[in-house]
Amino acid sequence: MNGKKKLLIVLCAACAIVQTGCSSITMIRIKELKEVRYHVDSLKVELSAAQQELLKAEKNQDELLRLIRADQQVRFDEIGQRISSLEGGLSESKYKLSQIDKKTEEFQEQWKAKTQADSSMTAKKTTQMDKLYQIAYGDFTAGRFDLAANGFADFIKQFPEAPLADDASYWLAECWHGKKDLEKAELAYSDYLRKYREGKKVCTALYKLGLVFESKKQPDKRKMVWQKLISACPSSSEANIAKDRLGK
Amino acid sequence: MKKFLLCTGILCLWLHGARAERVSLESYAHNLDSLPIAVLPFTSLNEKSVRSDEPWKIIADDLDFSGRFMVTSLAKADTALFLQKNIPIYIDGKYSIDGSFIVMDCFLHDSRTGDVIAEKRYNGEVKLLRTMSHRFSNEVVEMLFNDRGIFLSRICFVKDEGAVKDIMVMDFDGHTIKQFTNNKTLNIFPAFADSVSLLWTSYARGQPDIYKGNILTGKMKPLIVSRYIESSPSASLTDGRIAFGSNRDGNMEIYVCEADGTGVNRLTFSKSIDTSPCWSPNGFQIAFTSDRGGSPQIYVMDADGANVRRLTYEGSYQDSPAWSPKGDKIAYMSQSGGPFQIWTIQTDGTNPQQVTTNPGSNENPAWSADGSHIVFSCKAGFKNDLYAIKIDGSHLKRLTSTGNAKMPDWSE
Repeated sequence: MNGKKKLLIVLCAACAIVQTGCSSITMIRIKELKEVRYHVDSLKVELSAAQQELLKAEKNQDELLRLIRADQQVRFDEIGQRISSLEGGLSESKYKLSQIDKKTEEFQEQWKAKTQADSSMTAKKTTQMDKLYQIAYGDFTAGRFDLAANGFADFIKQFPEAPLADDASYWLAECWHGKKDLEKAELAYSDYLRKYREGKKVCTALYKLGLVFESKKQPDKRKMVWQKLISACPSSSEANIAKDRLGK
Repeated sequence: MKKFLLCTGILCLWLHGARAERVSLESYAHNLDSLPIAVLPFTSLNEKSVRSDEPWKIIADDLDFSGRFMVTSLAKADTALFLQKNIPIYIDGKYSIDGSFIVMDCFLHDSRTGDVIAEKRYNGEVKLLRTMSHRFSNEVVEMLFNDRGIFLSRICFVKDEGAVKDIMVMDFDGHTIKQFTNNKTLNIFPAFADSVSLLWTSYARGQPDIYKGNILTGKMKPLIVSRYIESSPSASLTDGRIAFGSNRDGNMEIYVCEADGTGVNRLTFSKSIDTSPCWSPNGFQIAFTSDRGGSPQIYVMDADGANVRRLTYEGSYQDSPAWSPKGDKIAYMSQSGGPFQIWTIQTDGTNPQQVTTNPGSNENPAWSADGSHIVFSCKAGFKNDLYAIKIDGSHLKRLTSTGNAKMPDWSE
């Protein structure tokens, strides 16, 4: 009995020790777990904060980029305006130069008329030519399209090689367009474009021909002509209108 | 004496045939700086006199306004005086009033013989006496110069009272001013679409939209409405199409639409400000203001947007183009280191001419229907009033004296 009691006591003691040990280990483990959990929570908070910061930084960066782009756009616009302004100044200078050229030409004409007897015939022809053109153009601006068309046709017939023949051919087409005679207008614009490939009014004639096709309800032909216009005269005001109208 | 005989000899042409024939004396009248004419008081046939709006005074003022006549007002016909003053023709008349109605006969006489060259009868309410008198003045101009008279035309303008600006309409001579808009907001840029219709920009919705209204009925409606700026409308006299300025595509550009506001097409594509469009009388071209060259200048383009060309080079600031009904000139306001003045220029850009020289800032010109006069606003100090002037710079006449009139337009 004593042996059994002792064994029992020892066993109990051992169990108690083990139990205590287990509890301690558990306690330690629990404590460790708590610490870990606390640590994880802290890390989560820090991560969240870091994410917030990152978002904020991204937002600031976007804002900054937007401001930079806007600033650049403004600068580009300013540059564009300055270029326009310079172009305006250039055209003013060209105008003034053309005025001087005109006066110089007038003096030269007067000198020629005085000193050369046979050149007065040429001067007379030039004056007649100018008059014929001015009368026809005056009829055009007054809306007298029939008279104007006759005048321009006469001019082209009499002075086919004159510098104003280019303009006269164009205005003849405009007369028919003004009269809404679409068939004649189409022929006249096409004729102008064929004869004066490098002419002063090529871009405008292409645009107007497109308008004729538009009025004749021929959208394919209109598109073809205006695409030609956009390709040949990309920076012209007529090309801009054509792009806008084709885009609609 | 010779001048008198010349005028009388010319008028002898009129003594043959029926009365009230239309005879063109244009070729002769243009040889005289202005045609001398006398205007005599009209006689009442039933001893009831007109209390105000004496027709002979209205006719005398009209003919004087035109600048085509040297008007002398006399108490009675005096052949010796006519001869002395070289007056070949004179006007007199007679009338009878019955209640609120009047019958009025107006006569144009050969001053040498007293014979009637032409006569016209008018009848209607007494309150329409001004209209009847203006009608006769028109007849006289047509008879003698074979040209339309402007004496029944109207002028619209803005009455500026600071935060409220209203459209007003008055007779060409500044009489009978009537308020057209009354909506306690800004109404600006009025323009006649025809003799009785107006277009203008109104902030009635809180936004600048284009409105159309009838000055006889008072009816008005929004025509071009958007969330953008729609301003400075101008109607073509040929087909009623409307050109206007808008920033619907970013910056101010010129657009065109049909008379009912539909079918809007953009005409200009520059990064600059393009505004203040104005049609040519044949409806084929549009003049407008643009600063694409670095400063506001007048440009011209075809009505479809092609052929853009610069018109003005003189002066640092040009604006408010107005195309003459004759088609040959454009009036505009121009500044060159001082106040604005009214100038005209040929439509090919040649021959810029200064019209006004009076003190003050002279702005917003508009033409009379016969192309002989320009109405404009003149700002002197803090006051704005309207004036009319002949295109050669003579015959300056003040039309308003309220001190707040600007942005005029002149009807057909």
